[in-house]
Amino acid sequence: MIIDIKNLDKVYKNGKIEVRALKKVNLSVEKGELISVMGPSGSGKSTLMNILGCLDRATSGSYILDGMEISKLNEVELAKIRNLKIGFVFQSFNLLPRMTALKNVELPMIYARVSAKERRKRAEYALERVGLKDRMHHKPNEMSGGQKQRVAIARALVNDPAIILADEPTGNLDSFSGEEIMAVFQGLNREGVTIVLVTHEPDIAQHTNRIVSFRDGILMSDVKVERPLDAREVMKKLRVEMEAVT
Amino acid sequence: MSFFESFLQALESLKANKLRSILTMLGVIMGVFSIITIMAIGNATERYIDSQFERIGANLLQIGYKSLNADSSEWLKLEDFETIKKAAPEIKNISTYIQQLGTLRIDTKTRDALVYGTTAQYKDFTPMEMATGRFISDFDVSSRSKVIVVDEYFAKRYFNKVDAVGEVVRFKSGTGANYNLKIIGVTKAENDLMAGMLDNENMPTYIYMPITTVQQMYYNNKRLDSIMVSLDKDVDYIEVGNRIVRALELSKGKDDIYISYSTQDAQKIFSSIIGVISGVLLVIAVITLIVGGIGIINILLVSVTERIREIGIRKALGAQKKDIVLQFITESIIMTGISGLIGIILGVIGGNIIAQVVNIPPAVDVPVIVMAFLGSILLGLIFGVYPAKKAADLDPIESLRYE
Ligand SMILES: Nc1ncnc2c1ncn2[C@@H]1O[C@H](COP(=O)(O)OP(=O)(O)OP(=O)(O)O)[C@@H](O)[C@H]1O
Ligand SMILES: [Mg+2]
Repeated sequence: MIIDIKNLDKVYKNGKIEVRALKKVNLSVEKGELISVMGPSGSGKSTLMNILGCLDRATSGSYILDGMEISKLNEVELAKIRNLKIGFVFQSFNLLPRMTALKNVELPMIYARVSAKERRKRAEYALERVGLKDRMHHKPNEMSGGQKQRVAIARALVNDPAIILADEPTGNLDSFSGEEIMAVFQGLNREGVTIVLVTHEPDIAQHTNRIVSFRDGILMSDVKVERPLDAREVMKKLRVEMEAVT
Repeated sequence: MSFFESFLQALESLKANKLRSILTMLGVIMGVFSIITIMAIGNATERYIDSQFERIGANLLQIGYKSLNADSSEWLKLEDFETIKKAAPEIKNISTYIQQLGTLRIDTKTRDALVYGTTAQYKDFTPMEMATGRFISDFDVSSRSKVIVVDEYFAKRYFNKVDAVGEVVRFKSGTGANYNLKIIGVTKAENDLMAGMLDNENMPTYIYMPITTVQQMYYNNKRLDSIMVSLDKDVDYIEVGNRIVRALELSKGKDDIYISYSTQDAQKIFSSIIGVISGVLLVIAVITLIVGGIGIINILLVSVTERIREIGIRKALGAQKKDIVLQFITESIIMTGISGLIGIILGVIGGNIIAQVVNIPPAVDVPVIVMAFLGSILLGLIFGVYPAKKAADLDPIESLRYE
């Protein structure tokens, strides 16, 4: 088991107002899974992802990541976990605009104190895996949204994390680029990478093997997808449709 | 993150805001520049003064009057030289001078002259070199010769040559009488601060004549303003001075009318005046530097606000607090370090230019440069801490949401 959370609660306190963003959540994720988290706005999806990503702490309950009890760790240890065990992909890409794709992908390794030579090698390989090796010297503003998101995935991959956490990775993309991203995720998942992604789009969720749904901070349902869509095939179909239109 | 990595990244981010970085650095550059220049000029002036005193080669003691209106029975006269020599056999040289104004005429041209009536030994008291000819001799003094020593500027201007020895000039004293004076020597021009003043038609030229000749030309007045005595370096000049003063007072049968003071005192006073002036300037320069440093804090804070999202991203990717702190402090240190270097270079150039203009040897010490550089780095460290801490304390989730 990569992730095991038990009775997880998250309460935000702003002065007198308390928001219970997660209520007694139980969830476990096995190695090699591709899971989507769904739910209406404000249901606690991002809150869960932030806790899973060690950017935030639960108010109570236990969270075991890769065999480690996270709630007992201090700030420095949490930073190390984020660096080595977690790969983040955000809706708004969050690349550093002044750096090339290659430098952006190297960044997590700088904090892991990987040597410059090794960094370069691993960054190039990560970009190759997301199909962007030829764009490694481009800066984010010279790339499309889909390409930026692939750079972000390469960056998430590069320290070989236990899990990739993606909060609405296709939220800012058109449907074709969204499929491209899902194709990358499915490819990585076939190679054994564990991925949890948040999405509003049922179509996107249908690409994953399991869908977890939240409402008002409560985990409402957890269902297996019998026959997940293959992004490569969806893309083929979309291409044909587009050609028919033009 | 290693220091080298954070250095590279800091350099990148400074490059991204070139103009802003340079403007920010200007304050520190000016501060360091002023400090180096002020130190250089202060040092140079002090050394210049020391060297001028050094050229006299010994301790100089002056004996003068305690009161401004001494009556004729209290006057110091040439005859008192003997009393002094007897009272203080250890003295090396003894001389005196009186100053009068007169006019020189060469053919149709006239030139005001500041006359120094003095003795042969005067040349041992003042940094003076002969370009040609000789200085006044004992014989000139005892025989009241009508001879004159002029300077190189004068010789060149009125005789078109340095070697004006043997030429005769017409001199009109303050009493209106006229004399023919023969030039016996020409002093070397000193290429320094005074040059412009000495070689100027509208300013009086400095000339030397035997003191006895001058006394005779000006109403036979035998009063000396002071007597100069030179001593070996290691002699206790205070004791010798007191002894001479007592012997002179005894010979006049009066008490408490003379006083002695030495060049060492003067040197000390000079040094302390320069010390005070450069101290004040230095305080102003340090204030400039601090103001410059506050500018750096300000810009770093702006930079933190602008980069909240970047900081959030870095933290999400595994940056620890210390990495963020290091990054911002490095930026600050690079800014102050480069400013320091530029300030030092400008300061050295500035010090040299000023030294050239006032013709004193430039004096920028290596320790001062090293201190200035290390000081700049330290400044960067101090000014960087607060913004860096602010950046490192940002909450990653909020930073990532920041627009
Ligand atoms: N920092 C915070 N302080 C107070 N309340 C918060 C904070 N962050 C989130 N919340 C609240 O917690 C609840 C869950 O928020 P969360 O961002 O997890 O929702 P979400 O499912 O990700 O929604 P969306 O689909 O719009 O992204 C919401 O009611 C939200 O207002
Ligand atoms: Mg959300």
